[in-house]
Amino acid sequence: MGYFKNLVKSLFQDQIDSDDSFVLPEMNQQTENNIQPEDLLKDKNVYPNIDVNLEYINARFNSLINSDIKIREFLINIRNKQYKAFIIFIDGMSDSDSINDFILKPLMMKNKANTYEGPQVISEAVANNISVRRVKKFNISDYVMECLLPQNDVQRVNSFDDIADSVVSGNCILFVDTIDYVFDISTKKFETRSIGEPKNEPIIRGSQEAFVENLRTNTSMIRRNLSNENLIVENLTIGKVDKNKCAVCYIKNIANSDLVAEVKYRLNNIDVDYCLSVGELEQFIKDDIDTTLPEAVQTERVDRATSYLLQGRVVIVYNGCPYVLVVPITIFDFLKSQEDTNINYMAANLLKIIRGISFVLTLLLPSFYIAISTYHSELLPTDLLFSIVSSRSSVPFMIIIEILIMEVSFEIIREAGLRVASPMGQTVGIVGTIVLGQAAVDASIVSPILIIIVAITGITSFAVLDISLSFHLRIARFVYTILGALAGFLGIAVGLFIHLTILCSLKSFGVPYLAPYAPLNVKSNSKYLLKPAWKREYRDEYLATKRPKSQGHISLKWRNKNN
Amino acid sequence: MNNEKLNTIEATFLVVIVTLTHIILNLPNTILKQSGSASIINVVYVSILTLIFFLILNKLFNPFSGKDIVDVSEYVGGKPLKIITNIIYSVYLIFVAGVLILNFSELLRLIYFQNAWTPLLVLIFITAAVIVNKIGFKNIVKANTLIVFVVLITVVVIFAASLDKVEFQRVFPILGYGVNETFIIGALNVFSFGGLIFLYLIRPNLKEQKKYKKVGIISIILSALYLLLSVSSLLFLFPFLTTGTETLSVYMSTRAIEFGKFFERTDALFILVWIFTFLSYLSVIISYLTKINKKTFDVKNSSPIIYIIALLILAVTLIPKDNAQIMFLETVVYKYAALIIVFLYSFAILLIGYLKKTGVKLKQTRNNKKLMLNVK
Amino acid sequence: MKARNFLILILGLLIVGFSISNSSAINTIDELAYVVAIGFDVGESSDLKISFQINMPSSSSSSSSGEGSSDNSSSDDTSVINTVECNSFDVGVSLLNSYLSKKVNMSHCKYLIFSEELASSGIGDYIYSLKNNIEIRPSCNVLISKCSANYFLQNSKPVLNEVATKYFGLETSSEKNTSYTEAVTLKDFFCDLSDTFGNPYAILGSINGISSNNVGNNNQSLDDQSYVAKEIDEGSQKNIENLGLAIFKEDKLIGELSGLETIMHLLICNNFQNATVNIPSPFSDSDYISLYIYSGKSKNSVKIVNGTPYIQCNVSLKMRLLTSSQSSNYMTEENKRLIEEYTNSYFAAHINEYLYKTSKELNSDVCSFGQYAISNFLTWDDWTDYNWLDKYQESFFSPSVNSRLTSSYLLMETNS
Repeated sequence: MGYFKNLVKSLFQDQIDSDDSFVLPEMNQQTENNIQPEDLLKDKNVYPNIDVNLEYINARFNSLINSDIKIREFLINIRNKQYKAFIIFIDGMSDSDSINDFILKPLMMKNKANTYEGPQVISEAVANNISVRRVKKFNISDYVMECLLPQNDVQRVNSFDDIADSVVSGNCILFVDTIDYVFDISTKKFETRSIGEPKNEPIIRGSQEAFVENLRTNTSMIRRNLSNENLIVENLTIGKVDKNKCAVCYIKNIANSDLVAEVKYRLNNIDVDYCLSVGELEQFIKDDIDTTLPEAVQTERVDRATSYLLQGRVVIVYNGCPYVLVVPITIFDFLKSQEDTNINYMAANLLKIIRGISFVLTLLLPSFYIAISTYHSELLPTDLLFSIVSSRSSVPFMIIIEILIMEVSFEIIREAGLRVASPMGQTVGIVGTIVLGQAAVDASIVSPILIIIVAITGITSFAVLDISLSFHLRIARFVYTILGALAGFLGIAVGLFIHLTILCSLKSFGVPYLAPYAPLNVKSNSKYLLKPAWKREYRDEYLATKRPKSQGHISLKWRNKNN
Repeated sequence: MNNEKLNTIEATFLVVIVTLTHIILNLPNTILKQSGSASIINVVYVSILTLIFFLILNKLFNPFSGKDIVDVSEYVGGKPLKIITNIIYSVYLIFVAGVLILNFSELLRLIYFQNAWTPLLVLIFITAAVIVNKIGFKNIVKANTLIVFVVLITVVVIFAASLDKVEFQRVFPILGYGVNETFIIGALNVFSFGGLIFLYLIRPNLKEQKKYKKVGIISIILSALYLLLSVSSLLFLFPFLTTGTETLSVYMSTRAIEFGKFFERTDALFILVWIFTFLSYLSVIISYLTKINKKTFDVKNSSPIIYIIALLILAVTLIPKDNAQIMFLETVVYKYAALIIVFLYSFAILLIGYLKKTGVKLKQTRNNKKLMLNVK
Repeated sequence: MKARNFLILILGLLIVGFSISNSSAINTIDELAYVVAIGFDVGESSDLKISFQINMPSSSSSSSSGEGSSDNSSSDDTSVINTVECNSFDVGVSLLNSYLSKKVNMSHCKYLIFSEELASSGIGDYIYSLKNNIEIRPSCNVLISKCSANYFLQNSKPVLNEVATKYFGLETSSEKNTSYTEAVTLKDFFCDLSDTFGNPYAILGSINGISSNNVGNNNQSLDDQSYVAKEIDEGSQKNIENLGLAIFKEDKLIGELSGLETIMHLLICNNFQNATVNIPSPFSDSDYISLYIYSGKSKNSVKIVNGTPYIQCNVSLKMRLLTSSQSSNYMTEENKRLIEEYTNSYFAAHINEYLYKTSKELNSDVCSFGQYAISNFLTWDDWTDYNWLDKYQESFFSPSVNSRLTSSYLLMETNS
């Protein structure tokens, strides 16, 4: 009874329309481009006052929200005087043992070096009983450098830009009060647990690095690929029983702050006992819970995650899962490969067109086949028609039955081949080939043309790169096949129309799913086909980033030899 | 409600879809019957007339920023006139949508589904339109924009593919049935721009009010262009006296085209695209009717209105007894209804509203002046 | 959301209902018999005798048992011919359906064949109802056979192809290479028939022996293209032959054009593709020169002088030389010009002959000069008052030909 009540209610009530759902505000590009927050922090040198420095560093590295930026404040003993000092480094990129043993220990522990109060003798010459001692004038910075840091690679640096560069590359920076420069101590040590190659998203040229299960390793991998101190890694926990760690990564001065806030809001408001993987997490945070379409890209490639970050998206790293989530996305992101930007744009566009064709074929080919052969046989070229007719002449089933048999058995073989232990996978493949391909035709159960149709459908579904999207396509394909069998092109058109409108209504974190095609933006610079590498001047405008331009107006400045 | 606003191209295509549906069915044929070989001249002439009409319209609409014709009629005649306008618009749109869908369903039935029961076919269209209406107005518009793009391409393809078979000589005799028929009676062919009715309704949904003029001009030019293309491909392909095609004129020209030896009978693909067009058209009509009715009668929930309108459209499709009546409704009744409502009634209301507004303004300035004088 | 799913469910049910209500009209490709050609004859007991050539699905290609399929399958296997007598085409179709296991479908029909006998009594009504048929494509070819249509179909066996339709498709496309006939489609025929610009014409075909020495066996005449499709009784293997055009006045067959006349016709109508033509050699009386004409355009204009049409045709030709002979050198500028002059006069004479044949003898404006004439009229009423199709008989022609020998096809140098 309650069901019907709800049904009637929902039938006669408007959807709680997107008034309160999250929509990315449209940003005005001009005003955004002028104020760059980082400009305010640029070109500064280290102050002699350590408190000012600390404040500046906190601001610059966003250390309050950035979980892996570590700042350690302490007091140094120098000649029995105490100076305030702090070190800054990134957890996961620096060698914490060497920081402990060779930076903090000599500086903080009382030992001969730092309690010594006498003058520093450089040379001592005894002549005429007068010993001439060349005593170095006490200089605290020289002293620290020369006596207190037992490290092989230490540099004095005084600009904050250099400091930022060193920190993000894994160095440890020592600030000491009253000194207007800092010590840049090389402590790079990445956590190099055996990082594997990406198994499910292989590319030919490009980085061969994949995420692993450990959260910190993953964030450090992103950091290593993306050397900018504005990359923020914020930690959150998800789950009440299993408090799993999750890190939200974004670039502070690129990603839209509303978007970041929305991502954090959603992640913070998941009331579950546990969430074990990124795939589960995706379903908890997606905008439209009814759809079978994925609304976040899952990737295991570090370079892919990095490039998304640089475009102004948010990456969610989840502990215990070698995949990261990228939001927001559009449907066209699922048809992208990391390879695309690595190769010439023409070649990439060819690949993209092929993927687009595969997308359409895998969705519609069986349904078109059945619609044409049942209702619109005049559409087939005559010779093709006759060869289809003669190939079908001894098949006892109706076409729809034939298609369903083949599609279902194809799915079974795919599932079996996927789940079974890998040595047996081949056997499944062989059995499938023989049963589906050869024997079924020989026994006149299916026609050879149908084998071709199903095979093309199967192959093209693999050319659609993202597995979660191809799940959606597989479901939809069955629906279209039945629609095509019931009402021909009319059924397919009605299905496509509703499908299209549903697609138009979807949003991934406020970004329309079909952007930039619906809503149509003719001037968009993020169309499906790629522009040449030097012409990708703007970031995707639907992301409403804080930094819309990603290249100078003339990116290839070296070509202007006159200047 | 920020995301209910339309950008220029979406608004333009919303207007274009109405003309497109008529083009697909019978509009070119009606024009051909009216003007004969002078159809091309007639279409150009009528387009210019419409453009001028729109420019006046735009001028009249200027004082009413962000208001549609229903609001204007409320301004002119208070609540009663608002309701009257609303009802006239609803009846007109429901009637047109019903007749078009019925006609298209008959076409489908004739070509592919000989034994199907037409009301069922109509019901499928209407249900699909109701479903997408439940999904939301803005999403319909988004989908519509994509669909119109595809349809525009198909019209160009039809024209381009029939290019090698055309006989341009069919444009002669240049004046068709005579000057009178082409330019005076032919002026009534402005009814082909019945899609203009959306220009009366679209204003509250525009993102930028300034773009209204642009939307109107682009949509009229686009409609005119495609009307021209389809009329000329028909005119050049067939002897217009006896096209032998009472209905489905553009379908006939798709039957004639072929792309080489391999793709010969591609008309089913065009039908596929046209089904999209009609679904989109129906959804747009229903959503707009829902919008104005919701506003006029101050209803909170739009869903019941959607169902009512859908049922009314279904009811309209049950009226005609045979194809002759459908043809009569589509060509004759629609023609005069479009002329009266789009070009006379709405225009009159707008004109009165404009005069009233400017009159009030004038009075105010005059009063101000008087005050100023008095002060002096 | 629940509402949406519910409504989608309803839509699904509607589509299922629709499918059930329509199910009797659904015919999958298995249940259809595809007609590839339809022949119309005068019936013995009723008005019409219709022959349908139906494609047989060849089972040999589907069985993968690997037996030699080519040796035992004779050409009879690819198609069968069924004949019904009836009063109208549509009744004929349903009669045929009554004794076939599959439903007849005509959407892949390539040829509509009318016998000469039927055509001379008028085929307008058949054309109209064929045009109205949703299954028959406007791109079907219309052919008038000298023999009975049934006989024509029975002898139209694919020699070089296995499938009958492919054979028919290629048969019509062969006119591109010869220009001895034109691929007239149902749409063309219908347009000409219903139009006020001109009169219709169709392909002329007959059954001839397969061996090439039968083709044009009356080439004792000056040019071997004057040959009209004819019937030859002798010879065991027979084949269809499409040559020339059948000329109609209104909807009645009134005459025919020979191969050469068809070339002229195509030139005037600007449908010319290419052709090989023999002209008498300017250098020796008994010799011929073969010319390959690869482009021919005509600029036509019609003026109404004192109420009678005055028609000008300026034909421009581009050609190459095929003949090489020992005795003459065709490469010199002088000789080239001489050949061009000969060609001009040869074509002018034949075009003139052809045009007067259509106007004076046949009184049928097959070139659709009406479409040029119509630009002289301002309104439709003026045009219909003039009654062009009757006035065509009175027209005067002034054809002129301008030919250009672009290059010789000769590989060998000849010297005089």
